[in-house]
Amino acid sequence: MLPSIKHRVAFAALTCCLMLAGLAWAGDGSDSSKSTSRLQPVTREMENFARNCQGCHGDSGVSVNEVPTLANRIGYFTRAKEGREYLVQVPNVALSTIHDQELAEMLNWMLKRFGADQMPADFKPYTGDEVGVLRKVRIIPTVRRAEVVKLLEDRQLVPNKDTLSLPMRTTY
Amino acid sequence: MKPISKNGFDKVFETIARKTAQQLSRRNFLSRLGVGMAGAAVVPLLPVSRKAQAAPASVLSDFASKAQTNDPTQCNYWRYCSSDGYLCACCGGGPSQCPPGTTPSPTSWVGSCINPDDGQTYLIAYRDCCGQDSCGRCACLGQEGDMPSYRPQLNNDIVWCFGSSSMVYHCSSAGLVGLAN
Repeated sequence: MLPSIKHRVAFAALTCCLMLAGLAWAGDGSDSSKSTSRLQPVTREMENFARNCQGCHGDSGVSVNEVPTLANRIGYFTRAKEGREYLVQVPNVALSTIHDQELAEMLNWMLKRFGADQMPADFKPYTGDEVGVLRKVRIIPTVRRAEVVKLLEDRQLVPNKDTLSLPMRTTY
Repeated sequence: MKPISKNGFDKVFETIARKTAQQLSRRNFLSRLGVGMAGAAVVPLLPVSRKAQAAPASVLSDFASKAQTNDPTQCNYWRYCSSDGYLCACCGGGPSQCPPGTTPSPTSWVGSCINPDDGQTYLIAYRDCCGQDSCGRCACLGQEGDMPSYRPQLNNDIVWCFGSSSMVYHCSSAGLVGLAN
């Protein structure tokens, strides 16, 4: 006896679905041989850091003598208002092409990653507006840095005179 | 039955409609509709290549649309979209490895390239290998994201051996940093 049309149609549709689903599953994972297939996307802060800073400063914030160290140093600057401002006004930060809001986010991320142990407990994250105002101020970086570091040392906000010293005179 | 419509155009459709109504059952219509709906539902499951979908044409750059992911000794290997110089993969090293006798520069610049296999953008560190004379093999000129020399942080014409023990350029490597946001 022939099954009714309805049954035949339902059966055909089900067979079709299972077959195609099986084929689709078999075709999956074609990229498994590529080393890139398991990577997770980085955050926006990390991407901005990678594109604009990491090449020279290193992904761990430590690099060669020509490039100042970030790790365990930048946090000290946030202990004084002048230092907090300096981190935004240092030329490669202030003059970067990153928008104010994203720049603020990136600086907060960098401080957390490279300076968490040195930051004051009541540290307030940078805001886009604050960064927008601060980055307009032009400084002579070597001179300004020396002033800020002296101020931090005078107020005993850094452990000693070597803490923020630089191996090359022309850097800042 | 003779059509009751007077207009010739109407007559044609009336005839078709009446014939359909007389010859086909309602169940026939329902069954065909069912097949159609089931068929439409399983189309997305078909094992077709989704390369085109993964990377909309508008996003693919000129380089990425011609790039390949198999041979790192060719200029159109996907990671070399901003590589300017001799490929380390042709000089005894790899796409992200310096040849023996040279040292990877401690500094690099970071750009990004699209992988044509999945259409995603990856961050690539362009790092020169330094310490021996120019390799001279597989000279390539990728220029995506390359900035003029007055923006040296993102320029690939200058020798990226800063901080290295030797400023002598040998070849260019392109290491994978991560998947862009």
